[in-house]
Amino acid sequence: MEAAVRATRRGTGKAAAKACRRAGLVPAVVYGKSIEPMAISLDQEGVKELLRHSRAHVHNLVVEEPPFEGSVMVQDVRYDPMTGKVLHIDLHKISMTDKVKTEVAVEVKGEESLEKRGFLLQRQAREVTVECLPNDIPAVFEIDVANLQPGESITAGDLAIPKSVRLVTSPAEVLVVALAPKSVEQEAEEAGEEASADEGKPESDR
Amino acid sequence: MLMPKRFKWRKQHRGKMHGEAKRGNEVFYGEYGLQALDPAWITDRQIEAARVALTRYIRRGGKVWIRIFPDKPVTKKPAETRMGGGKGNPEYWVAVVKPGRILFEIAGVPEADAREALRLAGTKLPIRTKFQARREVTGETLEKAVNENEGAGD
Repeated sequence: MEAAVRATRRGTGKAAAKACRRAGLVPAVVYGKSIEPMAISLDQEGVKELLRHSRAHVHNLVVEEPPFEGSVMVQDVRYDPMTGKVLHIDLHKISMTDKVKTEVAVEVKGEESLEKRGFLLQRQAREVTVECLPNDIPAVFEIDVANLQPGESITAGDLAIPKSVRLVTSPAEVLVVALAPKSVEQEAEEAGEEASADEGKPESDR
Repeated sequence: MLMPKRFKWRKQHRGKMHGEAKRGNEVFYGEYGLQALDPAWITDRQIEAARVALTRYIRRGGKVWIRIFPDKPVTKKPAETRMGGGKGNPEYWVAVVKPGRILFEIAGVPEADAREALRLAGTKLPIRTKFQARREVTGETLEKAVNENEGAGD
Protein backbone atom coordinates (compact mmCIF):
# COMPACT_ATOMS: atom_id res chain seq x y z
CA MET A 1 0.00 0.00 0.00
CA GLU A 2 1.50 3.27 -1.02
CA ALA A 3 1.77 6.29 1.25
CA ALA A 4 -1.23 8.60 1.55
CA VAL A 5 -1.02 12.14 0.22
CA ARG A 6 -1.23 14.53 3.18
CA ALA A 7 -2.72 18.01 2.91
CA THR A 8 -3.92 20.86 5.08
CA ARG A 9 -6.94 23.14 4.67
CA ARG A 10 -6.49 26.68 3.41
CA GLY A 11 -8.68 29.69 2.78
CA THR A 12 -10.30 30.27 -0.60
CA GLY A 13 -9.49 32.98 -3.09
CA LYS A 14 -6.39 34.21 -4.83
CA ALA A 15 -4.87 35.88 -1.74
CA ALA A 16 -4.92 32.57 0.14
CA ALA A 17 -3.53 30.75 -2.90
CA LYS A 18 -0.69 33.28 -3.27
CA ALA A 19 0.12 33.08 0.45
CA CYS A 20 0.20 29.33 0.05
CA ARG A 21 2.71 29.54 -2.82
CA ARG A 22 4.86 32.02 -0.86
CA ALA A 23 5.06 29.44 1.93
CA GLY A 24 6.40 26.86 -0.53
CA LEU A 25 3.12 24.97 -0.76
CA VAL A 26 0.92 24.26 -3.76
CA PRO A 27 -2.79 25.21 -3.59
CA ALA A 28 -5.25 22.53 -4.60
CA VAL A 29 -8.95 21.83 -4.53
CA VAL A 30 -10.86 18.61 -3.92
CA TYR A 31 -14.36 18.20 -5.31
CA GLY A 32 -16.69 15.37 -6.13
CA LYS A 33 -20.24 14.12 -6.21
CA SER A 34 -20.62 13.53 -2.48
CA ILE A 35 -18.59 16.40 -0.97
CA GLU A 36 -18.50 20.17 -0.87
CA PRO A 37 -15.49 21.63 -2.71
CA MET A 38 -12.56 21.88 -0.27
CA ALA A 39 -9.57 24.20 -0.69
CA ILE A 40 -6.37 22.53 0.48
CA SER A 41 -2.63 23.04 0.25
CA LEU A 42 -0.06 20.37 -0.52
CA ASP A 43 3.60 20.25 0.43
CA GLN A 44 6.31 19.27 -2.05
CA GLU A 45 6.16 15.63 -0.97
CA GLY A 46 2.44 15.53 -1.70
CA VAL A 47 2.88 17.15 -5.11
CA LYS A 48 5.66 14.69 -5.94
CA GLU A 49 3.48 11.77 -4.98
CA LEU A 50 0.58 13.04 -7.11
CA LEU A 51 2.67 13.79 -10.18
CA ARG A 52 4.85 10.67 -9.98
CA HIS A 53 1.94 8.64 -11.34
CA SER A 54 -0.20 9.15 -14.41
CA ARG A 55 -3.64 10.78 -14.30
CA ALA A 56 -5.25 7.34 -14.16
CA HIS A 57 -3.79 6.60 -10.72
CA VAL A 58 -6.03 6.58 -7.62
CA HIS A 59 -4.48 8.28 -4.57
CA ASN A 60 -5.50 8.18 -0.94
CA LEU A 61 -5.83 11.76 0.34
CA VAL A 62 -5.70 12.61 4.03
CA VAL A 63 -6.62 16.14 5.15
CA GLU A 64 -6.25 17.42 8.69
CA GLU A 65 -8.50 19.76 10.68
CA PRO A 66 -11.33 18.93 10.10
CA PRO A 67 -10.30 15.43 9.11
CA PHE A 68 -11.09 14.02 5.71
CA GLU A 69 -9.90 10.86 4.04
CA GLY A 70 -10.85 9.58 0.60
CA SER A 71 -9.81 8.31 -2.79
CA VAL A 72 -8.97 11.01 -5.31
CA MET A 73 -7.70 11.27 -8.86
CA VAL A 74 -5.77 14.14 -10.39
CA GLN A 75 -8.24 15.98 -12.60
CA ASP A 76 -6.13 18.91 -13.75
CA VAL A 77 -2.70 20.41 -13.13
CA ARG A 78 -1.95 24.07 -13.90
CA TYR A 79 1.68 24.85 -14.65
CA ASP A 80 3.39 28.21 -14.96
CA PRO A 81 4.15 28.32 -18.69
CA MET A 82 7.43 30.16 -18.14
CA THR A 83 8.93 28.32 -15.19
CA GLY A 84 7.14 24.97 -15.44
CA LYS A 85 6.28 25.09 -11.74
CA VAL A 86 3.00 23.63 -10.56
CA LEU A 87 0.53 26.43 -9.76
CA HIS A 88 -2.58 24.50 -8.81
CA ILE A 89 -3.93 20.96 -8.73
CA ASP A 90 -7.55 19.82 -9.08
CA LEU A 91 -8.37 16.58 -7.29
CA HIS A 92 -11.53 14.64 -8.00
CA LYS A 93 -13.01 12.66 -5.11
CA ILE A 94 -14.20 9.33 -6.46
CA SER A 95 -16.19 6.41 -5.19
CA MET A 96 -14.54 3.02 -5.62
CA THR A 97 -17.89 1.51 -6.59
CA ASP A 98 -18.75 4.04 -9.32
CA LYS A 99 -17.28 3.99 -12.79
CA VAL A 100 -14.93 6.84 -13.69
CA LYS A 101 -13.77 8.28 -16.97
CA THR A 102 -10.03 8.81 -17.18
CA GLU A 103 -7.20 9.15 -19.62
CA VAL A 104 -4.71 6.30 -19.90
CA ALA A 105 -1.32 6.82 -21.53
CA VAL A 106 -0.35 4.90 -24.66
CA GLU A 107 3.25 3.72 -24.63
CA VAL A 108 5.06 2.88 -27.84
CA LYS A 109 7.41 -0.11 -28.09
CA GLY A 110 9.74 -0.89 -30.96
CA GLU A 111 10.26 2.68 -32.16
CA GLU A 112 14.02 2.09 -32.47
CA SER A 113 13.62 -0.80 -34.91
CA LEU A 114 11.22 1.33 -36.98
CA GLU A 115 13.77 4.13 -37.08
CA LYS A 116 16.52 1.65 -37.99
CA ARG A 117 14.50 0.77 -41.09
CA GLY A 118 14.54 4.48 -41.94
CA PHE A 119 10.91 5.26 -41.12
CA LEU A 120 9.50 7.97 -38.94
CA LEU A 121 6.80 7.50 -36.33
CA GLN A 122 4.21 10.22 -36.07
CA ARG A 123 2.22 10.14 -32.84
CA GLN A 124 -1.28 11.53 -33.25
CA ALA A 125 -2.59 10.79 -29.75
CA ARG A 126 -0.68 9.92 -26.60
CA GLU A 127 -3.59 8.91 -24.41
CA VAL A 128 -7.04 7.40 -24.73
CA THR A 129 -10.11 7.93 -22.59
CA VAL A 130 -11.59 4.89 -20.87
CA GLU A 131 -14.47 4.26 -18.47
CA CYS A 132 -14.26 1.63 -15.75
CA LEU A 133 -14.18 1.05 -12.02
CA PRO A 134 -11.22 2.77 -10.30
CA ASN A 135 -9.64 -0.60 -9.43
CA ASP A 136 -9.75 -1.73 -13.07
CA ILE A 137 -7.98 1.29 -14.59
CA PRO A 138 -5.05 0.02 -16.70
CA ALA A 139 -1.74 1.68 -15.81
CA VAL A 140 -0.78 2.04 -19.46
CA PHE A 141 -1.62 0.68 -22.92
CA GLU A 142 1.32 -0.64 -24.93
CA ILE A 143 1.51 -0.75 -28.70
CA ASP A 144 4.22 -2.39 -30.77
CA VAL A 145 5.23 -0.38 -33.83
CA ALA A 146 8.29 -2.42 -34.83
CA ASN A 147 6.61 -4.05 -37.85
CA LEU A 148 4.65 -1.06 -39.17
CA GLN A 149 5.03 -0.24 -42.86
CA PRO A 150 4.96 3.34 -44.21
CA GLY A 151 1.39 4.62 -44.31
CA GLU A 152 0.19 2.02 -41.81
CA SER A 153 -1.34 3.22 -38.57
CA ILE A 154 -2.54 1.90 -35.23
CA THR A 155 -5.91 3.12 -34.01
CA ALA A 156 -7.51 3.16 -30.58
CA GLY A 157 -9.60 0.18 -31.65
CA ASP A 158 -6.42 -1.90 -32.04
CA LEU A 159 -5.56 -1.59 -28.33
CA ALA A 160 -5.86 -4.64 -26.10
CA ILE A 161 -8.69 -3.38 -23.89
CA PRO A 162 -9.65 -5.56 -20.88
CA LYS A 163 -13.30 -6.66 -20.70
CA SER A 164 -13.99 -4.57 -17.61
CA VAL A 165 -12.87 -1.40 -19.37
CA ARG A 166 -14.91 0.56 -21.94
CA LEU A 167 -13.08 2.63 -24.52
CA VAL A 168 -14.60 6.12 -24.69
CA THR A 169 -12.25 7.43 -27.38
CA SER A 170 -13.48 6.62 -30.88
CA PRO A 171 -11.99 3.27 -32.03
CA ALA A 172 -11.17 4.93 -35.35
CA GLU A 173 -8.91 7.54 -33.71
CA VAL A 174 -5.40 7.15 -35.03
CA LEU A 175 -2.69 6.81 -32.37
CA VAL A 176 0.44 6.43 -34.48
CA VAL A 177 1.33 6.49 -38.17
CA ALA A 178 4.53 5.23 -39.75
CA LEU A 179 5.88 7.66 -42.33
CA ALA A 180 8.45 7.13 -45.04
CA PRO A 181 11.34 9.61 -45.05
CA LYS A 182 11.09 12.42 -47.59
CA SER A 183 12.26 11.39 -51.04
CA VAL A 184 15.23 13.06 -52.73
CA GLU A 185 12.79 14.78 -55.15
CA GLN A 186 10.75 16.20 -52.29
CA GLU A 187 13.92 17.46 -50.68
CA ALA A 188 15.04 19.06 -53.95
CA GLU A 189 11.60 20.67 -54.29
CA GLU A 190 11.89 22.16 -50.83
CA ALA A 191 15.40 23.39 -51.55
CA GLY A 192 14.00 25.05 -54.69
CA GLU A 193 11.29 26.73 -52.67
CA GLU A 194 13.87 28.02 -50.23
CA ALA A 195 15.99 29.40 -53.05
CA SER A 196 13.00 31.16 -54.65
CA ALA A 197 12.04 32.60 -51.28
CA ASP A 198 15.56 34.00 -50.93
CA GLU A 199 15.30 35.60 -54.38
CA GLY A 200 12.19 37.53 -53.39
CA LYS A 201 13.98 39.26 -50.54
CA PRO A 202 15.42 42.74 -50.87
CA GLU A 203 19.25 43.04 -50.86
CA SER A 204 19.37 44.27 -47.28
CA ASP A 205 17.73 41.08 -45.99
CA ARG A 206 20.12 38.59 -47.63
CA MET B 1 5.89 33.68 -46.85
CA LEU B 2 2.96 33.09 -44.50
CA MET B 3 0.04 35.50 -44.74
CA PRO B 4 -3.78 35.31 -44.49
CA LYS B 5 -5.59 34.13 -47.63
CA ARG B 6 -8.18 36.87 -47.26
CA PHE B 7 -8.94 39.54 -44.66
CA LYS B 8 -11.86 41.72 -43.72
CA TRP B 9 -9.97 44.93 -42.97
CA ARG B 10 -6.71 46.05 -44.57
CA LYS B 11 -5.34 48.01 -41.61
CA GLN B 12 -5.33 47.24 -37.90
CA HIS B 13 -4.60 49.08 -34.67
CA ARG B 14 -1.21 48.30 -33.15
CA GLY B 15 -2.55 46.92 -29.87
CA LYS B 16 -0.67 46.03 -26.69
CA MET B 17 1.42 43.06 -25.66
CA HIS B 18 0.90 42.92 -21.91
CA GLY B 19 1.20 39.69 -19.94
CA GLU B 20 2.08 36.15 -20.88
CA ALA B 21 0.68 33.76 -23.46
CA LYS B 22 -2.42 32.13 -22.02
CA ARG B 23 -2.83 29.76 -24.95
CA GLY B 24 -0.37 27.94 -27.15
CA ASN B 25 2.10 27.78 -24.26
CA GLU B 26 2.62 24.01 -24.17
CA VAL B 27 4.32 21.64 -26.58
CA PHE B 28 1.28 19.92 -28.05
CA TYR B 29 1.97 18.35 -31.45
CA GLY B 30 5.67 17.44 -31.41
CA GLU B 31 8.20 16.27 -28.84
CA TYR B 32 10.24 19.45 -28.47
CA GLY B 33 9.43 23.11 -28.93
CA LEU B 34 10.88 26.60 -28.98
CA GLN B 35 9.31 28.92 -26.42
CA ALA B 36 9.34 32.71 -26.58
CA LEU B 37 10.69 34.50 -23.50
CA ASP B 38 9.95 38.07 -24.63
CA PRO B 39 6.98 39.82 -26.25
CA ALA B 40 7.44 40.83 -29.89
CA TRP B 41 5.96 41.17 -33.33
CA ILE B 42 7.48 38.30 -35.32
CA THR B 43 7.41 39.11 -39.02
CA ASP B 44 6.55 36.68 -41.79
CA ARG B 45 10.16 36.86 -42.98
CA GLN B 46 11.55 35.99 -39.56
CA ILE B 47 9.20 33.01 -39.31
CA GLU B 48 10.30 31.85 -42.76
CA ALA B 49 14.00 32.31 -41.94
CA ALA B 50 13.59 30.30 -38.73
CA ARG B 51 11.68 27.58 -40.57
CA VAL B 52 14.38 27.32 -43.22
CA ALA B 53 17.11 27.13 -40.55
CA LEU B 54 15.16 24.41 -38.77
CA THR B 55 14.42 22.25 -41.81
CA ARG B 56 17.93 22.65 -43.21
CA TYR B 57 19.44 21.32 -40.01
CA ILE B 58 17.17 18.32 -39.59
CA ARG B 59 17.25 17.54 -43.34
CA ARG B 60 15.04 14.60 -44.25
CA GLY B 61 14.08 13.32 -40.82
CA GLY B 62 11.56 14.77 -38.46
CA LYS B 63 8.44 16.87 -38.70
CA VAL B 64 8.08 20.55 -37.96
CA TRP B 65 5.05 22.52 -36.79
CA ILE B 66 4.85 26.32 -36.94
CA ARG B 67 2.64 27.36 -34.02
CA ILE B 68 2.39 31.06 -34.84
CA PHE B 69 0.79 32.73 -37.84
CA PRO B 70 1.37 36.30 -39.03
CA ASP B 71 -2.21 37.58 -39.20
CA LYS B 72 -1.62 41.23 -38.27
CA PRO B 73 -0.85 43.73 -41.06
CA VAL B 74 1.77 46.38 -40.35
CA THR B 75 1.54 49.66 -42.20
CA LYS B 76 4.32 52.04 -43.08
CA LYS B 77 4.38 55.53 -44.51
CA PRO B 78 6.68 56.01 -47.51
CA ALA B 79 10.11 57.51 -46.80
CA GLU B 80 10.44 61.31 -46.74
CA THR B 81 6.69 61.86 -46.47
CA ARG B 82 5.25 64.70 -44.42
CA MET B 83 3.07 63.73 -41.47
CA GLY B 84 -0.67 63.54 -42.04
CA GLY B 85 -2.59 62.23 -44.96
CA GLY B 86 -3.86 59.18 -43.14
CA LYS B 87 -2.45 55.82 -42.17
CA GLY B 88 0.28 54.29 -44.32
CA ASN B 89 0.05 51.29 -46.59
CA PRO B 90 0.22 47.68 -45.37
CA GLU B 91 3.82 46.54 -45.82
CA TYR B 92 4.17 43.17 -44.13
CA TRP B 93 2.50 40.74 -41.73
CA VAL B 94 3.41 39.91 -38.14
CA ALA B 95 2.44 37.42 -35.46
CA VAL B 96 1.90 38.95 -32.03
CA VAL B 97 3.93 36.82 -29.61
CA LYS B 98 3.81 37.01 -25.83
CA PRO B 99 6.25 35.34 -23.41
CA GLY B 100 5.54 31.65 -23.00
CA ARG B 101 4.25 31.11 -26.51
CA ILE B 102 5.50 27.99 -28.30
CA LEU B 103 6.78 29.16 -31.68
CA PHE B 104 7.93 25.95 -33.36
CA GLU B 105 7.61 22.27 -32.57
CA ILE B 106 9.61 19.37 -33.83
CA ALA B 107 9.27 15.57 -33.66
CA GLY B 108 11.02 12.49 -34.97
CA VAL B 109 14.61 13.60 -34.26
CA PRO B 110 16.95 12.90 -31.33
CA GLU B 111 16.92 15.49 -28.55
CA ALA B 112 20.43 16.74 -29.34
CA ASP B 113 19.46 17.45 -32.98
CA ALA B 114 16.21 19.05 -31.90
CA ARG B 115 18.09 21.31 -29.48
CA GLU B 116 20.55 22.45 -32.12
CA ALA B 117 17.89 22.90 -34.81
CA LEU B 118 15.70 24.98 -32.51
CA ARG B 119 18.70 26.98 -31.30
CA LEU B 120 19.49 27.86 -34.92
CA ALA B 121 15.85 28.79 -35.53
CA GLY B 122 15.93 30.95 -32.40
CA THR B 123 18.88 32.94 -33.76
CA LYS B 124 16.64 34.12 -36.62
CA LEU B 125 14.15 35.68 -34.22
CA PRO B 126 14.27 39.09 -32.50
CA ILE B 127 13.56 37.66 -29.04
CA ARG B 128 15.12 35.37 -26.44
CA THR B 129 13.87 31.82 -26.71
CA LYS B 130 14.02 28.61 -24.69
CA PHE B 131 14.09 24.92 -25.63
CA GLN B 132 11.07 23.15 -24.20
CA ALA B 133 10.41 19.41 -24.10
CA ARG B 134 6.95 17.94 -24.07
CA ARG B 135 5.35 17.37 -20.67
CA GLU B 136 4.61 13.64 -20.78
CA VAL B 137 1.53 12.02 -19.33
CA THR B 138 3.23 8.86 -18.04
CA GLY B 139 4.51 8.62 -14.50
CA GLU B 140 8.27 8.30 -14.87
CA THR B 141 8.72 11.26 -17.19
CA LEU B 142 6.80 13.48 -14.81
CA GLU B 143 9.76 13.23 -12.44
CA LYS B 144 11.33 16.08 -14.41
CA ALA B 145 8.32 18.31 -13.82
CA VAL B 146 8.43 17.38 -10.16
CA ASN B 147 12.08 18.34 -9.89
CA GLU B 148 11.40 21.64 -11.67
CA ASN B 149 8.72 22.31 -9.10
CA GLU B 150 11.15 22.13 -6.19
CA GLY B 151 10.99 25.48 -4.46
CA ALA B 152 7.62 26.48 -5.95
CA GLY B 153 7.32 29.18 -3.34
CA ASP B 154 10.32 31.13 -4.63
